[in-house]
Formats: sequence, C-alpha cells, structure tokens
Amino acid sequence: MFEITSGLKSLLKDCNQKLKEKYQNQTNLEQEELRDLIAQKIGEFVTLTEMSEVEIEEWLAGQEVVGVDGSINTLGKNYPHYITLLQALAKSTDRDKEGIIKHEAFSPLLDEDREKIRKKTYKDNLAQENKDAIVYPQEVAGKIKSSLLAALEILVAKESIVEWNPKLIMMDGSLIRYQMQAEEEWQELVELALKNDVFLVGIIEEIGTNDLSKNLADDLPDKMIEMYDRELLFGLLKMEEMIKLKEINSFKGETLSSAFLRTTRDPGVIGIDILKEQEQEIDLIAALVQSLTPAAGRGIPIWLDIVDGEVRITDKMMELLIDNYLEPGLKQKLLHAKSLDRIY
Amino acid sequence: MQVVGLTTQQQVYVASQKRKFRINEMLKIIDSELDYPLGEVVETQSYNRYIPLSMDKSFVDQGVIESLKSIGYNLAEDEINIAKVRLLEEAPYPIQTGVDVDVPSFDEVKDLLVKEKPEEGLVLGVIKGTEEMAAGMDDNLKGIAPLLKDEEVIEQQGIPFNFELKAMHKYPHIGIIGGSGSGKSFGMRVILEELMKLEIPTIVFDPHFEMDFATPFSALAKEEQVDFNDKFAVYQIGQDVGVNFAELSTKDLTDLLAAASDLSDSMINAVQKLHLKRDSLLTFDQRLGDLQEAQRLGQNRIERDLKNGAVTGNQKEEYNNYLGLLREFGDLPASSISGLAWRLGRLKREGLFRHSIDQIEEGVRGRKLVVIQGPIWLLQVFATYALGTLYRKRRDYKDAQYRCQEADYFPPFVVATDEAHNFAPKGYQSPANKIIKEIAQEGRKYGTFLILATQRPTLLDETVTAQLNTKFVFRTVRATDIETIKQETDLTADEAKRLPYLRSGDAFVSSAIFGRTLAIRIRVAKTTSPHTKNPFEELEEQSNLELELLYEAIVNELPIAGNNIAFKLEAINQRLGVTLDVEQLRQKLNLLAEEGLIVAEDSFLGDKSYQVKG
Repeated sequence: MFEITSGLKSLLKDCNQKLKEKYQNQTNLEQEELRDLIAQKIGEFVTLTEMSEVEIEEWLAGQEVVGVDGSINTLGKNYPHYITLLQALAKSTDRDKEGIIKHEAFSPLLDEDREKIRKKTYKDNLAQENKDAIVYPQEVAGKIKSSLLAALEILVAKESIVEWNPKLIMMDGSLIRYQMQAEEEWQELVELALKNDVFLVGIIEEIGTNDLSKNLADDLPDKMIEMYDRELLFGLLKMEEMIKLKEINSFKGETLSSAFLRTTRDPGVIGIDILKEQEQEIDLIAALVQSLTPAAGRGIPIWLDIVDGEVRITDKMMELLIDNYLEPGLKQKLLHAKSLDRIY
Repeated sequence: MQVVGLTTQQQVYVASQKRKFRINEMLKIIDSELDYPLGEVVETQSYNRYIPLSMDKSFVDQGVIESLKSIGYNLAEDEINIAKVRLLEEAPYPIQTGVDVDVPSFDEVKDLLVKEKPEEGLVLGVIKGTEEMAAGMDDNLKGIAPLLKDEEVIEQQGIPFNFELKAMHKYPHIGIIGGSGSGKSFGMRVILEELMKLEIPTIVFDPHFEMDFATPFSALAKEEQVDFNDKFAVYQIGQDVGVNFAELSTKDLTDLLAAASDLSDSMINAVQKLHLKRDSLLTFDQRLGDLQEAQRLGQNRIERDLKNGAVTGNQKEEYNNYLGLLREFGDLPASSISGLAWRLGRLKREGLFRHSIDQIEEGVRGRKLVVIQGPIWLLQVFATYALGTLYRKRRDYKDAQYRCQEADYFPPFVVATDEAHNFAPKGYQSPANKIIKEIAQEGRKYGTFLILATQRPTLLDETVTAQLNTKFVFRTVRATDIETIKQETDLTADEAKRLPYLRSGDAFVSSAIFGRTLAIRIRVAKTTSPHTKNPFEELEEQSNLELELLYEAIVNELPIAGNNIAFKLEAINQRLGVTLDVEQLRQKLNLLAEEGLIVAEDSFLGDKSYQVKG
C-alpha cells in the first residue's frame, strides 16, 4: 500500500482544524498587549547589540570559552538487551588545547548496572506516593542513562575549569537539567565555577517551560492559560531582542536566572540560563550568544554546533565500535534487533 | 600530508590540514615497501566541514566567523585540503593508507624532469607544480625561463622545461594544438626562438605575416633581450622568392594553377597535354596563348587564309604554327584553355615565377631560420614546391650516403607552419598534403622534422597526426577537438576536462620523450609580432591623424564663410593634395567644429561661418 489512506488524510485535516481554532481564532490578545503584559509583570525587554570583535576580546582578556556537550547512542532496542555508549566533551576555543573527553558505557545486561537499576527502582517505588503506580526498571534505566550523561558532562566541565580556567562555559541545554539529574556533581561544579569566576551558561534550544502562562494566569484569556512559553513567544520578539525574566515563580527556582532570546531570522526563540550569583553579566553573555549565532541558523551559537559535531557518536561509529570490539556471537544473541533485517 | 581513504596501484588521495595542494605538483609518498613512489597531483579540493554548501540548511555568515575568531577559534583553520595524486609509475600493489607524504627534493626528480642541458635543448618554459622543488636546482637551470604574468615579466618559477631536441631523431615531429588566444602562436614563437638559438636550419610558412623576430619584446629587461637579426630571414612569395617554372613537374603545375582557382577535369587534362618537359614559363605561356588565338580564329579560317595567300611572312609562319597546335590540341575545349590562361596570368601577376627558391636554400645551408610569407592559397602550393625541392635534396644526400656514394651535402632542417590543417587536411587532397605526409612518415630517416600548429586537430590528416610524437596542447574549447586530443595523446580524462580552462600560455605536453603528460607554462617570448596593435586603436589614431592634416590645411584660411568658401577651396585642395568640392569642404569644416578644433557660428546670411578657436 503506497498511497496514503483517506482515513489518515481526514484525521490530519481534522487535527489541523482543531489546532487552527485553538491558536488562531481565539488568541484574542494582540501581540502588543502581550508584550505590555510581560513587560509589566514578568520581565524586561532588552535589545541586544552584537558585541564587536574588540569588545569580545576585551571581555575575555585572554581567557577562553569552553563548550560542553554530550552524546549518547544505543545499540539494541528492548530492555535489557541494549548497550549504551556515552561521551562528553569540553572543547576550548584555543586550538592548542586538546578537548577533555570522558566516556561511559551502560547496559542492563551488566551485573553492576543491573544492580544500580534494581536499587533505584526499589528506592523510587518506596518514594512513590501513589502506591498503585509502579515504577518499572526500564524507566529507571532511562533515568540512569540521563543522569550518567549529565554527570559526565559536568565532569568534563569541572576538569576544564581546573585545567584551563576559562572565562565562560557554554553547556548544551538548560542548567536545570544538570541540577536535577546529577545534583551532587552539579553542586561541586557550581562551587568550583564561583570560586574561579567562571561563568556557566546553559543554552536551551527547545524551550519546554510554561513559566509565562503560569505567572500571567490572572491576566491571560482563558484559552491562553494553558499555553507553553514557546507558543506564546513565537513571533513575539523582534530579532536580536531578549526578555530578561524577573523574580518569578519558576520551577527553576532560586538558583538560576533565565532569559528568552530571538537570535535569528527564525521567529522561534531560544532560552539561556545562568547562575543567580552571576546574573549581573547576563546582558553581556546574551550579547555574546547573539554574536556567535548565524542569523540564518537554528538559533544557538555555532560554537556549540562545533562541539556537538565533534562529540557526537554517530550510528555508523557505534556500529564500527561494536563490530570491532564485541564478539559477533554476543552481538547477535543479545543486541541484534530483528527489525534491522527488514527488507522493505 | 597523509594518504587517506581507498588507494589503488595507480592513484591515492592525500589530505592535509595546513598545506594547500597545487595542481600538477609532484609528491613523494613515504611508503618504504614500495620504495617511495612519486606521484603528480591531478585534482585538488578544499573543504571546510563547518562551512558546508547547503541550500536547505543554515549558512554561517561572516559576522559569526569573525566573532568566533575573536573568542579564539578560527573556522578557516578547519579547512581540509585534498589532492588526487596519480603515481608516475604503477605500483605492484596499492599504497598503504595512512602513510606520510612529502615534497621531493630536486635531486629526486631531476632525472624525470630535466632531460637535457639548457644550452643544448629548447628551453620553452617551466614545468608547473615544481615551484617548491626548484630551490635546490642547479645554477644553470635558474633564471633561464622568465614568465609573463598580466603583461609583466616575472622571474622563472619552477624547474625549466627543456625540450630535448636531439630526441627528435627518435621521436620526430611536434604538434601544437590550441584555439585562438590560447598562446599557440606565442608557443610557436618561443620554439622558433630556441631553434634559432641552436642555429637549426628551419623553414617557416607563415600565413599570418607574424613570424618576424626583429622587434624585441619591450617589457623584457635589456640584458634579457636577444638580437636574432642575423639568424633569420623573411621572404615573401612573389616579392623575394618564387618558383622556377622550368623545374615544375606537370603535377606541380596543375597544383599551382589549381591554387589560383579550382580546376575542372578538362582543365587538368589540358595541362597534362600542354605541359612539356623542360618547358619554360615563356614557352608554356606562349603555347597556351597561341592555342587560344588559334581556337579563336578556327581551323577553317586559318587553312583558308593560308591557302588563298592572305597571310605572308611571319604571320604565315604563325598560322602554320597555329595549325600544328590545333592538330595536336584542337580537341581541348576552348573554355578550358582560356580558363588556364587566366589562372596562369594570376600567378604571373603575383610575381610567382619571377623569383626562385635559391635564397631559401641558401638560408637553410647557412643554418638560418627562413620565414616564407604569403596568402594561404599561394603558400600551400609554394610550400609543396619548395618543400618538395629541398626535401629531395636532403633525401638524395642521405640516400647517397646510405649507398656509400658521393653527394652534395644538404643539411637536415625543420619545417614549421601554422594552420597546418590547411596544408595537410583530412578527407580531401590539398597540394601540400603529399609532401607533408611523406615528411611525417619518412622525415625521421632523413633528418627532416615538422612542427605543425593548428587550432583544428580534427581537420588534420590522421596519418600526420599519428606521427606527431610530441604534442603541445593549449586551451581548446571545441568538444570535437578535445575528443580528438584525447584520442591522439595520453591526456587523461581529468586533464582533458581542464583544457577549456587553461590560461593563455599554459599547455600540456604529451610526449614520447617524457613518457607522460607534463603541464607547462611557456616562457615569455623574447621578440614580439610586428602587428600586435589593436586594429580599433589604429582606426582611432588614423582618424586623428587625418583630422590634424585637415586642420593644418584650413587654419590659415579661416575665417571661412558662405561668401568666400568657393574662393578658398582651391588653396585648401592644393594643400591637402585632394579635390574637395564646396559641399565636401563644408562637411569637413563641420567635422572640425564638432571635434572642437574650430568654431562654427551662424552668420546673418543664414549659413555658417567658421572661425579660429579661442
């Protein structure tokens, strides 16, 4: 069957209609009004000026910028028959400094990892308030993987401070992720960064928060109360404009300061967050982010793309590694997914 | 530099982050098991993975690249240079991937690239891609091939390309192929200069009237200039050299007449009948004229007049002669005879028969370069005759020598011509075809060599093309010609693809002497063609000159107005040496006024008056 069935077509048409009603016809709040509202209650609109090369050099004063990113790739499909490789990289803009790279492997098939899963499943189930909802080991394994990656990224970030003492570390994704997924390690990194005056900034490509509607609930029309930040902010900011969020009720809580930026011609926005203790520099850091972002790009600084390109464990690489270092018999027995042998 | 990716016995890819590759440069592959093979870069590429060419994805703008630079990271340094390297000699098994690659030193490539001492060979230019190796070169190879870049002479860059002239004995004949503006004529000039340097007897057929070596190239420093004046001579057909009619064979004569204008079959038949052995121009011309007259009079009238005694004395003798001619040749159509007479007349008017080729022979014997100029139609037949004669002399000498007999010495010589496809065309007979073909096939034995330049190799006789053991291929755009070049040379598909983009003066040399294709740049010519002046500039200059003369002629007669123009006309005409009428003079005056040399004012009489300016 190579034609799209009419059933699927009409379902999608239906979907489209519903979304259109929700977002177009009933957004009875003008953009200007929304801007005013935000300006009054939540944050401050700031126009970013790109930093000139001289300004950047002055600000850095010989120190460098470090980008931190991690990558994760898994061979095998179903719990517990998979193996995951993790890799994190801290890369300095100074070409002479070789990147700091850390690796980790994780597989529920290995006894020590299975033990971790078992313990955490037990703990999480105990902590569960609703006793009917059971936490399954596969979920826990997923969480452990995320924590491992976060911890690995924090590790290379820490090491980069010790070794290079950079001016700024850019991390891929919100800093809150590290705080939640690897709390202890995160605390150590924060302390180290504050002690050495290293700025930490998280660059958030996909904004998943709903802080705006939460804080503006009383003033927004009913239909907009449920909206996420990315929906409300789409097209609201002009290019090179930023909203600096005030003290608001956010799940990021007390420790971080954040801002929304539109760095590109694309009407979507990105977010940045930095440590509360360093928030006085947010304007400068935002300007730097702006300067390093191609106007036609996807919104995040090119430096993170470069780091990402270097750290990424591609499927091809994964395959090569497994084929080279894992016995074929084991691979076939434990990890091979039948779906890969599909002909069509 | 490192060998990367898939390798074969013939070629490898070499990548480097720091070093850019130059096309045609030589590289040494550090594969100890294969004894460090040498290779030549045949294709270069450069890539930066952070600045990809993508239509649908984002594009990294300059601003970001600059900002990145100021935080210490230069994207440009992520560039990767890749070269496709073809091994000079096939290896027994593929090169090891990952081995280092280095630039060879001069000594390592010397035997491959320098086949001849510069003072004994033709120093035609430099081998491209050898710039880095040239540093360790022997002193006698330095500074002998200055180059031309943007109209300026620059120093020699790279190892000189010395063509081993003596190897022509084994691998005879040179072809020069290239479109207009490709540097073909310029390459020919350099080759001829070098032949003069070695005092090789050379005959040049020059249909373009450009092979004159008297004017030194002005951009060249004084000490670099060479005076060739006693090494060459220029002769024009009809003016200085010509054909000795008595030496012509019937075939030669037919060709000559055909060159004046095509011959019909019956005309050819007529020549064959009319031309007798040891005919001089006078006897042949007279026979032709008499026959024409006889045919005009008609046999009946001649017989009648002879019978009734209407002609006497000389005239009677003439009439008897006519009668004899009519008996012998009367069946030849009168139109063919008059056609032949007209053709012979044309050749006579060109002065073709007034001179001989003695000067050419003398030049060749004196180890000079002899340039023969003439319109191409005449040059072709003249070449047939002159080459036939001189080649025969050389052949007779050599044959006698082979037979251990005494014979007059005649030196070996080189024949060079442009537009060679006119001399030896493919597909149809041309007068010179036979002799050129003969020299192409047998010249090696007798020490007679061809240098044939053409922009249409496809139109050149295939037997001749096949005998050109060395080919200089300049820029060529026409697809059929590129196809021919591919078939006739060892140029690879990659090199053939580059042909339409070669710079003027760059060429590939495909030569049995080197055994492989070399990319070269022709050196700057030491002399310059006499007519390099742009015809449009010349037009402008000429007009200005005429205006000046006109102004000189009228300036003293000013003011000129309607009432005195006729009066002044005579004096002006006298001074100009032409006859203008009043209207023409008025036009000229208007022209001068337009150019701002004089002032034209409307006079109260309704016409114009012309005043001195200022």
